[in-house]
Amino acid sequence: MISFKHTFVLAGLLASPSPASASDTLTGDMIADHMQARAEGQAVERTLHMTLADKKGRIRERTATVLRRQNGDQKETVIRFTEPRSVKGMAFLTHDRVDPALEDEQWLYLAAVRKVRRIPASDRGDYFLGTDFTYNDVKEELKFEPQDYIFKFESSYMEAGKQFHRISGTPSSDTTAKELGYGAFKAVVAAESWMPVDIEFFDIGGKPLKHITVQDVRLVDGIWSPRKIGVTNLQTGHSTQFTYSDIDYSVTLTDADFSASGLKSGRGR
Amino acid sequence: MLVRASLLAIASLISVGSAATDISFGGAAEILLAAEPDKVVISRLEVMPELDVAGENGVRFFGSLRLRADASDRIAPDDPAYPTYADLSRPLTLGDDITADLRDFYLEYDMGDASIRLGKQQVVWGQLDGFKLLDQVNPQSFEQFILEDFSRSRIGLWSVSTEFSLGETDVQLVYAPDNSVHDIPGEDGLYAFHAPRFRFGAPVGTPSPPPGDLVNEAKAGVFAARVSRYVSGWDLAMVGLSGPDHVPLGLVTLEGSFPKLSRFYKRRTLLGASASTSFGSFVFRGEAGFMPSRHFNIRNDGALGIERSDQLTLAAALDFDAPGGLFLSAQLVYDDVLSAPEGLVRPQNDVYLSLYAQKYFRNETIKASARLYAANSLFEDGLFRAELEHILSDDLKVAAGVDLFFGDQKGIYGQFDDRDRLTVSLTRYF
Repeated sequence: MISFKHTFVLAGLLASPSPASASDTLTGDMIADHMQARAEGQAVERTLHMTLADKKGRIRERTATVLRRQNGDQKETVIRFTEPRSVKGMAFLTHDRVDPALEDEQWLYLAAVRKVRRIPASDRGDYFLGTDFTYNDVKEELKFEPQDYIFKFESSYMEAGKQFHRISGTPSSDTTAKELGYGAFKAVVAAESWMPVDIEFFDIGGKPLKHITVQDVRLVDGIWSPRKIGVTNLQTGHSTQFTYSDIDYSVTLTDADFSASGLKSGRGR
Repeated sequence: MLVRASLLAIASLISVGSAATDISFGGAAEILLAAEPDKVVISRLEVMPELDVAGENGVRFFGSLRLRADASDRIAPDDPAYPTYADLSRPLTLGDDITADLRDFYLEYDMGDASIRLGKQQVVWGQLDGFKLLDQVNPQSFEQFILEDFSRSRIGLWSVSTEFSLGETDVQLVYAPDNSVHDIPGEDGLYAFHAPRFRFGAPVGTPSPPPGDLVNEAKAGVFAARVSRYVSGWDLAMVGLSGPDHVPLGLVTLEGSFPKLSRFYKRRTLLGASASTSFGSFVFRGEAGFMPSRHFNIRNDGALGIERSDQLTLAAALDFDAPGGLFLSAQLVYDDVLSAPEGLVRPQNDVYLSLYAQKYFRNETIKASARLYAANSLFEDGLFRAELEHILSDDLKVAAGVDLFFGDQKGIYGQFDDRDRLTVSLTRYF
């Protein structure tokens, strides 16, 4: 559902003469709203290649097929691992509710034990499957939930003929900060796509925590789609790179693709 | 018949080579060492190759084989015949130390909202970990009691299984003309049962009569159905099953003038339900099973007999995703033979508890876990297991663990009080 706030932003986008001329009156909230309004597509199928590296340079790699669709008031996602052999067949299903009052739901299929298990909805600040992204990072897909932060517009600049905005944010409450595991962030947002290209997160004590970079953002079927998202945990030295390929927004996905019972068999896949 | 049909179907898949789009061959090899305080009891090499052929239009073949060689030869030293397996399901023995077990061998046809699977396979139902309440389609090998993960000790059945949807309800139907039952170790096995309840009431330390016939009277195979549905945040399922009771009944018969202990397998029916839901950081899991008029052994004045009674089993589990990435889980199972006949060789009721804790470290490259099983008393009959697992690379994993039994010889776990062990394993994926 698009909120009144988003409707206002969309109307503003249509009326806006250009991002550059609008920068004089931009606020942090407006930029966050632009990011929230960024199209994701009704459904998408992607191949995700994960590269995890520890500070000694030891590499682990994962490949997964990722399905996602917006189904009414919930975002449904399936991540099905195809490589390496040790995790092949493992699948992870989430039903994320738009309404924060409703609880998200998660299921896990462990191929090794051949069983689908309901698992507790992860805390937003928990790390996602051994990567350096949190569950909230993955869920929000390079957006900042307006309710989570107090945003501040910092500055704008031009680079290679393109405009970028700097914004910062602090959690809206101590509770939110604990949930997210972040005390603040600074981000650079591309005005053309409303996609962040660089995000620095700080821990609750104010120390630098993570650095996220977004590269190779392309229009696919009219939707801005990042190909590479890298994150480095500045405190542990561990890093994760997500590389997306085979992005298909025209895929037809069914209820069976996002059901717990279909998780083990990958029915329809 | 099923084997022939499976082979023909696979051949037809391969013969239209252009239709096969994805062929994957791989697997794992594992070395396991298990040592008791004074000796190594398992020194095993296991190789588990898998072949996965996915054709176009939803046709898929999956086969997995398990080759085991155990230099210690202590688990089942003189029992290589696997008498409780159906002929087609029986592992192949190559000498005393090596076995080859076809774990999976099935063809699957996926039609989108429905699928059918034909061949040797495992059907895994239920919500519990480490307890078999609704997970009753396939029998289990108790060669290592419950120390081996159920997915590895579950015995595959030749069967046909179909899954389809009726509106928002998912249905699975299974027919298995395969009468394999639990593989229970012989008297000389490393994990041979000592508790009277598993020896048809024979007191601890008394020798059993020599084994006699093994008679499976439940020849019609397994018929099973499961319907499941997601309703308002709950995963609900109901199951019904009719098939061989995997647990033997004992009767002493005379061969000439010599008594023999014969084992019988009768049919049993299971009706059950399961439910699970999440709330906050918690997940509730529950199961209930009812077996009407099940056969039980009784023993009065030293004579074995058979009576029928209803059996009800209830289970509840709570999982908690605690702060700091700690996962905690507790399971409670209550099992009751209703209107128990006099002389029942097992207790009229049992209460089981399991407590589990798990935590990952270093971006999930290290997993530490511990589980406590207890039966009827928290401290008098139980098993404590702890394991540390380290993923060294994408294809290499090492693990070390300890299994500590406590209790007396009459207990479910205590009967293995002298089987405490340390384990070390190395797994290489290929």
